[in-house]
Amino acid sequence: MSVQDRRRILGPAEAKPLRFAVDSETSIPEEGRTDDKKTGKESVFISTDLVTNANGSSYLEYMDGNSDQVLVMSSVFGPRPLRGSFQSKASVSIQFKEVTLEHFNTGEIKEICTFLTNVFNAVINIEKYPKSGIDIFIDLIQHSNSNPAEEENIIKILPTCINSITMALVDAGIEIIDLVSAGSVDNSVVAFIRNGHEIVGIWSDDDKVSDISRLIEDCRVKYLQNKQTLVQYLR
Amino acid sequence: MSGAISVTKRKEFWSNDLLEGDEYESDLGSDEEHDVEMSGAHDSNSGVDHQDGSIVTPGELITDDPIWMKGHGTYFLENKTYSSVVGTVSRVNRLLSVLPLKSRYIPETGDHIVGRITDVGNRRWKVDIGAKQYAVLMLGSVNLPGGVLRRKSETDELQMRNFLKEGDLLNAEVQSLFQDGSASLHTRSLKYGKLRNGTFVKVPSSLIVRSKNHTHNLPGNITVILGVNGFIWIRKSSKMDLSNSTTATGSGQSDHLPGSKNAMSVSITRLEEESSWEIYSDKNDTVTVSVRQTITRYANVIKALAHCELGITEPRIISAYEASMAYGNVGQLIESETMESLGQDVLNSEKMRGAA
Amino acid sequence: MGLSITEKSFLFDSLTLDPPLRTDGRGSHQFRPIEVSTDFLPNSNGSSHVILSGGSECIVSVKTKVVDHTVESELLVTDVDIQGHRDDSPLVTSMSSLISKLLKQTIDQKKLMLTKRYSFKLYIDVLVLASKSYPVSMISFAIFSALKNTWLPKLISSDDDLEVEELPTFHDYDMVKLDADAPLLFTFAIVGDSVLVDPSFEESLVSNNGLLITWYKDRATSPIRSVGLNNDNVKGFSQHHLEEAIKLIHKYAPDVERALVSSD
Repeated sequence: MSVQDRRRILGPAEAKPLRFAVDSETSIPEEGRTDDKKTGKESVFISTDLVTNANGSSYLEYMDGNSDQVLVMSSVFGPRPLRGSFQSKASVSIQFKEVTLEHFNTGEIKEICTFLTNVFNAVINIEKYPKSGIDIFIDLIQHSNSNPAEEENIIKILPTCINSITMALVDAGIEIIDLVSAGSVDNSVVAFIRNGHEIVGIWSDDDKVSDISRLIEDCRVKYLQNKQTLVQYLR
Repeated sequence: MSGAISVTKRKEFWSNDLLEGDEYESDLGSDEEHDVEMSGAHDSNSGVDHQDGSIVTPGELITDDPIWMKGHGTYFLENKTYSSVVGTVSRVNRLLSVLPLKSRYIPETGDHIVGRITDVGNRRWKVDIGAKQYAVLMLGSVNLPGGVLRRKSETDELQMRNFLKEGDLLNAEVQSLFQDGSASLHTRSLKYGKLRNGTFVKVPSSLIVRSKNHTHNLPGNITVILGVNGFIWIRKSSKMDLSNSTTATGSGQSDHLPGSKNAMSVSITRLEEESSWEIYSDKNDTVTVSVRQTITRYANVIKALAHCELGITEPRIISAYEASMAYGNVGQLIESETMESLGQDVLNSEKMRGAA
Repeated sequence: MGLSITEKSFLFDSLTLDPPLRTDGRGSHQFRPIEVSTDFLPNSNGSSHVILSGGSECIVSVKTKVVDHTVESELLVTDVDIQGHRDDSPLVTSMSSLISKLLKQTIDQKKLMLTKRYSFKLYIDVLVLASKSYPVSMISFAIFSALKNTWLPKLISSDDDLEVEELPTFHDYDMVKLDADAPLLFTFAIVGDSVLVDPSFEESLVSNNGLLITWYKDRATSPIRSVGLNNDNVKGFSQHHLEEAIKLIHKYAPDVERALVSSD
């Protein structure tokens, strides 16, 4: 009688532990980090298609030189059938959520949602999707501020939110007329398309605005950088 | 026009001070008596019947004579007839009713109305005509492309949204009324159908008087459709409008008479042609800037008449339009003072004409 | 209710003419005429009622109470209510948040201070009775008129109570006018290449985008926002549209401000 442990299923005598091949895909986004945060420069980390039950999703990490960090995840559900009366164009809805923190009051969050909805109404080819709804959810996972004395500011997270939604829409294969991205200067955010020739959204809380043209010009420079990053990742 | 905005101080609100006047006090007193009448059996005011045309308020006794048949706007309690709305008493034969001063449009068979599609359903469209209920336009009650009198097929049923879709404006006639008072419409005439080349104005339906003709050609190459429901469409006159007017008002314009027969025959041969897809087109014809300006002016003139609570008729529109020419800038017509003076001008010129 | 396709294209073509031809013939810089009445609420320190031609209407009431500002630092409470919209609807919450944030920035809270301990606390309540188009301009006009006509009780006790504990006492009937500058908000519709001030409901429906610009202390300032006036015709706009809007504001906002002040 062998004294064998019957409760345990033993493998064959010369079995070797499994060794998984290093997943090459996960390393690609790592290269997407354009800059290292230690260098004090802005850096972005992009990854897409992580929410499996969404039609498209994206995850963005944004770090500026001063260890300000914004982590945002967007997921796109749709186009999916819309109940109710006939609509000849798609209706876009955007929901913003703070996952781990509560910095903003509900009024501000609603403001962000209406603003973003307006931006993406201009960009998504809504004529292509009659009777459908496109629901976009943004989760702000983390927003750490280097300067704790400073008030929490929507301006800091808006560009990342816009970039993130754009990536999620691309991932979902929803028709958009251009990659929309935004640049921010001080307390203003401007969202552009068409290489900065067209503005799709402006949000300025800067009470020192004197020269609107300068402001737009400065934001445009940032926009072009951001857009370049998105294009690089998609390639 | 230098000012970007006109700000006026609002006139005094209706205030309770008025009640301090003797007249009101005595009125109030009699009102209280009415209240007593309603609950009790005594009737101190018997014999004071409201005559035709007098104004009554809800709960007011109209008559205690039981021979009257009670119509709309009244109710019957213990052999007495009371009013249930604010309005004027109307007595037709034995029928006693109160016509409300303000109410939603109540459709009647034969009314020429303008409406907006709200819903495309099973072989029918739902149309908002400003009434209590949406009106119904059956697929069978419209002219379809390819001959006026052909049968409606299943393909038609499947492409109803290609003919009329949500938001589209059309003019139509009330064909019949359902039990619940909602209307069934038809557009089986070339003068009815989808509306294009113009702009929409809404006025209270009480300002539009029912008449034989609701489509008028106005000076400046403009046609206006005064829907009985208070929905008005102002558009550039089409060839059809002009040919219709020569036949309809042929006696007035004798020089057009020889041409009128011609126009008739043209419009009949065009029947087939016109009922092609074009009648459901969503494209406007080219409308020149001057016609657009005239349309805007007419729209403002009609709004001014509505502001002055004047009944809107063809002669009044024309008269107000001519009076409005004193204001070179159409934008001036939106000031309430200008609107009021315009209304006054119209009334004055009517008096003058009456005197002459 | 939406417009038909033909109405929309007719209107769009008219508005994109040069000069634009608007639904009611206004110039691109011209506002709808407004009627203003102030001081009509006997229980409020200040009130205003603004009626736009076309039927939009708004009431603002300013009430006040004395608080210890060492305990309560929030001296301004703004509440916006729009008839026919739920309190938690995006329109109401975002409007309310925008306006209360703006007023906190612009109204000088030092002017509300009575003594070293006590302050007036202002409650600004906005009730939009009827509105078809984007109501923010109308609301700011009403708040402006109400604040310009707000009377606060006159303090007769000493304004230094740091050493001596003293409750502020007020004159029986003398009132002092509140000295507050409220910002004005302007809405612009961008239709094709035209920039139109104070868009009406129909104009909003065909506009490609909207702009919200603030006028405060004789200059255009933030918040500047792009706002969606509709959901199905939204397009991008170019920099010169924005510059055009700012130019219009600089040219005509002083007129508007003067007209609102002189109507009292």
